[in-house]
Order: sequence, then structure tokens, then C-alpha cells
Amino acid sequence: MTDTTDEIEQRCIDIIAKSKNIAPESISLASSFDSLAIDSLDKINISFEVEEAFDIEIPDDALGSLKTVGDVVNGVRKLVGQPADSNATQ
Amino acid sequence: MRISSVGTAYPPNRYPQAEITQALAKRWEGKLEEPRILNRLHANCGVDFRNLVFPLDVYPSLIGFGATNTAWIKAAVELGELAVTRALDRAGITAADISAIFFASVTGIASPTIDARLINRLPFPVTVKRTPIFGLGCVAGAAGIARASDYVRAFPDQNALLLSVELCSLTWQDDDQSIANLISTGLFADGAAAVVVSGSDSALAASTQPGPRILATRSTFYRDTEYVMGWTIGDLGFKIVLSPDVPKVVTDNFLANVQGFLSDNGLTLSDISSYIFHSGGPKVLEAMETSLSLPPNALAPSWKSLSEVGNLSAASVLAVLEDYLVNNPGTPGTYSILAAMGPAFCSELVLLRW
Repeated sequence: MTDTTDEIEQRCIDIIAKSKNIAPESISLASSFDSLAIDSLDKINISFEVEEAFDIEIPDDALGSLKTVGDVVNGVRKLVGQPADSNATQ
Repeated sequence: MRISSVGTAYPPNRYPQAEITQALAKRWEGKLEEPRILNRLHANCGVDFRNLVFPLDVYPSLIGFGATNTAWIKAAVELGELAVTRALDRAGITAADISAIFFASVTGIASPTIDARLINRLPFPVTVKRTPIFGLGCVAGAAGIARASDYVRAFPDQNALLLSVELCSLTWQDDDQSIANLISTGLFADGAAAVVVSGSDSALAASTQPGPRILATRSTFYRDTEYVMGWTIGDLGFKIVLSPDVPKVVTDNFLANVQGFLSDNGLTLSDISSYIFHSGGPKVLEAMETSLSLPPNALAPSWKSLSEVGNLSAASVLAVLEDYLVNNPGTPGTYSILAAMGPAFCSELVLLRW
């Protein structure tokens, strides 16, 4: 796996920004899905995009625990085998 | 006046969530643009098991509103009788001791209503007053307790019975692959619950039953939120209306709603020891938790009910209430709020003292 931590963060943010048609600069790791107006369907569509981008498979029941962008980034890190960043959810 | 007992009843066909999802995916093969969306929505409903009125392979043969509603009437009477019998047995009374019945459902219709059909099966007095309620949806469990308490407030030597039967699986629509219907088919389930509410001068209220006293109730209508939840009723039956705005409506209104109610009763949130809330779904429960800044696990019984039996619409909050009465009754003198929300959008709050 060649993604660095920063690359993972940036790619996740880009996916979310594109999905919601908002500027990536307005999204941080602390951004909550609620604050970005991400509903259940958005979350699922984002999960498909993330799976494709990182060639990973997100368990179907994992989405309920994802509340922030940082949660997504940490989840991706886990699935690609990189240690989670403790700052990612702050 | 007090809540003297609660009885619940569930149909015998119990399935893990994944099995129901699989059956629906098969039933809707070729209709789903992206079948993975169904899997993912159902897996995140907070539901692990559901009881259904029919085995899964029977549902495809129930076509059209007539067939499903006929099935609803038969099953509602049977399940309703079971719930009523359990509630009466727990209270130590019979149907002959009931003066008024409030029947709530939003998943089928009948005339004579289900409560009337039960009067022919159980020894209710022929003078029993009947109030069938259709259309309140999920809020009807709390609203039913509130209306039953209004009744025994007027007739304090009498007992009232609330019965809710919701057979949500009979509203599944084959021609609707909207996100609302995908969520609805993953969240809602079948069940019945009955509650005995006894007047303050009744023999039952004076007994040693452990149920809480009903101190006050509050109905609150959230204006201009008709679009949030309900049914579109067509030739094929009930088609779900479920907006992603539901959690926002809760967040926007619930805190002020609860604080106002408590304040009018000389209390604040810090006086409340337990929260008996309708198991609406993960988003609704989270919105309630966040709105009231509840401590972790404050709504654990509601989450547990959601996980074990799904959202039973009006019957859900009554199932949570049963759990409290049987497994975790409040310490004498402590306060609880029982709450539910539903189509309108609106809320019903009931202040209880153990």
C-alpha cells in the first residue's frame, strides 16, 4: 500500500467534497456528517466511492459508527493496514 | 392514576435482519438499481432481529391492498388478544374490569375496528367505550397512554385499556424502491402491546402493583412538517413517506418541548431518572440523546428494543415501557419521561412518577 497518512486524509476529503459538491477546504477531520448535511444515502454512496478509491471492502454494518470525516479516515487506515491517527477524530 | 401493567405479543416468525434483507433482495431482483444500498441501509438500522406475521416466503403472494388488509385484520385480532390477555393477567384483572378501550394502529384499517372484534372474544362489558385511533403512527403509543389517562382522570374509579397492534411488514411495497422504502423495510417490524391505565380511585390503583403514576401529559404539534413522515395511500396500500429531515426536526424541537413540559410541572431535566423513549431508529434516538444531552446508556432500553424487535411503530414505546416495568422499575419517588414522535410531525410526552 503506497498511500501515506496525508494522502488518505486528502483523498477521503476529496471524495466527500465531490459527493456533496462542497469545497474540500471547508472540510476538516473534525467535520461531522451532520454539519456537512450527509444523510444515510450520502454516507452509503461515499462508502462505495471510498471502497473503489482504496480497493477495500467496508463491512455493511460499519457505517452506523461513522460520525465524522476523521472516523472515515481512521476506518480506511485500518482497512489498508496503516495505524490509526489519534488526531484524526479530534 | 397509574400505569398498572403492560403486555406485549410478537408473531412467531423471528428472523435475523440479514435474512430479511436477503429475502427482499431476492424479491426485488432486477428492480434495485444498486442492491448493495439495500444491504448497507438494512445493516445500519440498529436492528438485529424482527418478528414477522408471516414466514418470509408468504409475502410475495400477498398482492394488493385488499389481500394484505384482510391478512392484517385476522392477525391483528389474534396478536391483539394475546397482548391484551397478558396485560390484564399482569394487572390481576379481567376484561370485565375495563371501562374504555383505546385502539391504535397505522398499518391496517377495519370496521368494525379491532377493539370491537376483541369485545366478541373477551368478556369486556357491553358498555365499554371504544376509541379507535388511526394515523398517529409512531406517536400513538405515548398518545394512547395520554388519552387513556385523560379518560381515567374524568372517571377516576375506572380502568382504561390501550392496545396498539402494528403489522408493518404488511405495508411492504414491491413497486417502491425509494430510499425511504428501503429504510422502512429494514427498520419496521410487527408486534402488539397493551397497557392498563387505572384511575386514582380504582381498586387497581390502590393495589400494590408497581406501575408508575401518570402526573401529566403534553401534546405538541410541530407546524409545517407534514412532509416529514406518513403514508401515501394508493391502490396497493400504504406507501411510506420518510424524509431525511426527521432527525433535524427532532433536534430543532425536542429540547424546548421537553424543557417547557417539565418547567410547567416544576421540574427540570436533572430531576428525571429515566427516559422511556420510542425506538424510532438510530438517527432519531441519537437526535433525542444529543438534544437532551443525555448521559451514555440513558436510552439503552430503547436501543435494545430496536435491536431485538425493530421499530414497532406505536407499540415500540410500550415495549420499552414493559421492559422498565418488568426488569427495571424506577425507585419510588423518581421521575421518568415517556416520549414518542410521529407523523404531523408531533410529539407526545408523559411525565411519570414511580
